[in-house]
Amino acid sequence: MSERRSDIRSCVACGHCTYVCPASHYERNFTARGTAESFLLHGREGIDLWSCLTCHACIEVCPENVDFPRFMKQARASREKDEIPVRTHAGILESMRNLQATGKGGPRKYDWLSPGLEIAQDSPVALFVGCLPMLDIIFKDVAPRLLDIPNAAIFLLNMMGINPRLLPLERCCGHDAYWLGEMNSFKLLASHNSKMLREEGVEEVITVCPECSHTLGTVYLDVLGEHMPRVRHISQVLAEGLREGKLMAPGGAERITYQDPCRLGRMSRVFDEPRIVIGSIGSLVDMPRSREMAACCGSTCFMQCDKVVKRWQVDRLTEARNTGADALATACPKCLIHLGCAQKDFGTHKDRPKIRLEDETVLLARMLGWKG
Amino acid sequence: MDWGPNIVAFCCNWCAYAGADLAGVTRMQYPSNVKIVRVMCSGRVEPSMVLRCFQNGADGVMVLGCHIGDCHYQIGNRNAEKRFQDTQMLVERMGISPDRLLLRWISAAEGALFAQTCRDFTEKVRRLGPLEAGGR
Repeated sequence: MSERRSDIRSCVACGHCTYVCPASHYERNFTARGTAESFLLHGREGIDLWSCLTCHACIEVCPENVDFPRFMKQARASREKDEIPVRTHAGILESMRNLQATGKGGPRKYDWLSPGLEIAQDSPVALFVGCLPMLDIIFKDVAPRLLDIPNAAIFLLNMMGINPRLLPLERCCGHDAYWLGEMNSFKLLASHNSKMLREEGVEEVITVCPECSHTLGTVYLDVLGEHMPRVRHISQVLAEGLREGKLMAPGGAERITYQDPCRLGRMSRVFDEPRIVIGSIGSLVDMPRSREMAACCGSTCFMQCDKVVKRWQVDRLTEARNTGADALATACPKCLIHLGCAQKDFGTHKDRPKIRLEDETVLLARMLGWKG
Repeated sequence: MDWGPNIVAFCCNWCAYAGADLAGVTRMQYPSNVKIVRVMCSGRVEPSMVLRCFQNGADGVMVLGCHIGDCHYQIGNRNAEKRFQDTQMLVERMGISPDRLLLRWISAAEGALFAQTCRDFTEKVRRLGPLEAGGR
């Protein structure tokens, strides 16, 4: 964003943020405004550190442009050792991140690559896969076939005449570590990845996850002060391909609605490109809350997931179903996981907000003949 | 002093732990690198527990349970098998050698097998070397 962001001391206590904040709805005792007030009066003591989802909705409506998520991140970084978030999934994501931060483990194994895809290990364009291969195993019951996303991405890149390279030495981008305030882990991961990209001579990085693209593209520069290669999310590449005619728009009759991922939309200001991609495979029906005001998928960094979050997610799925769309497409694997989990939790209840969840990259690849 | 690996053995309460006990009371020799963690069933051992071991300095992890068909909870060890395959795939995709994991069925009467498994696995992990930065 071009506008300057201001410090939490600029808060004028107007309360706009409370209306848009996913964490302020329902019974949770958290508001951004209240937290700012409490911080200014009493300091860091007693602040609810973990309710904020850092979805950046508050900045969009703030008249003073207060960067509340940044404040939250700094407060988390200066926390005491025993102040930890509610761990979900038995702490496996935390272990995975810390294992990679300490550098344990060698090159990754690519047992999930579909046959027939073309990879060129001397290409200047690299595909950053991130933690998807691991999440595919951990979340196989809520978001099956997550690895279709990188496979479909490689298929489409091949169609555009790009044979990307894979980075066997890549590690977690450090997104979760950064937003949870674990700066030691983050710096280890970030310096490893930036050194690796430099040594490999990569000129452009394409990611399939908006968290990776935002972290590699913006946060690394912020924290390390080093210029990274150009980083783009796959939807930006696909929109360019469609515009330049390298990809044929298959067209289709399906009505598809789109969930704006916070890391791609509000934080990287990419709103139109994913819509161009969806427009090429069907007709796009936007939800009432979309673009800058899109509702969060309910969870960040896999922390603090509870019934409040679930209610928010079910509301969002209901909103998607009420548009009359056949499918809810998104550009973020984390949105797929969190919304898929909410749908599964609702089980066979008659009111469950049933709507097909899809990744737009996979949808486009299927329409263009990918059989994965 | 020679480097020795750190090995965690998850033993199920009903068979493998009793097997380890038997190995102890009959004074069989097995390496002191093996640290035993008792769980009620080998099916309890989930990927996050194995990763936590690696994170905190283990070089190898064993999951030891009852023989198939002998599980105290009917199908616990079948679940253990499925979870173990997932865990192996998970660590492999992270770049850690799947040889650092072992799943074995050991009954309460097989103290000798327990001691032998510990000796073999310790030797195997010793050859792989420590799990450290850049190592597999």
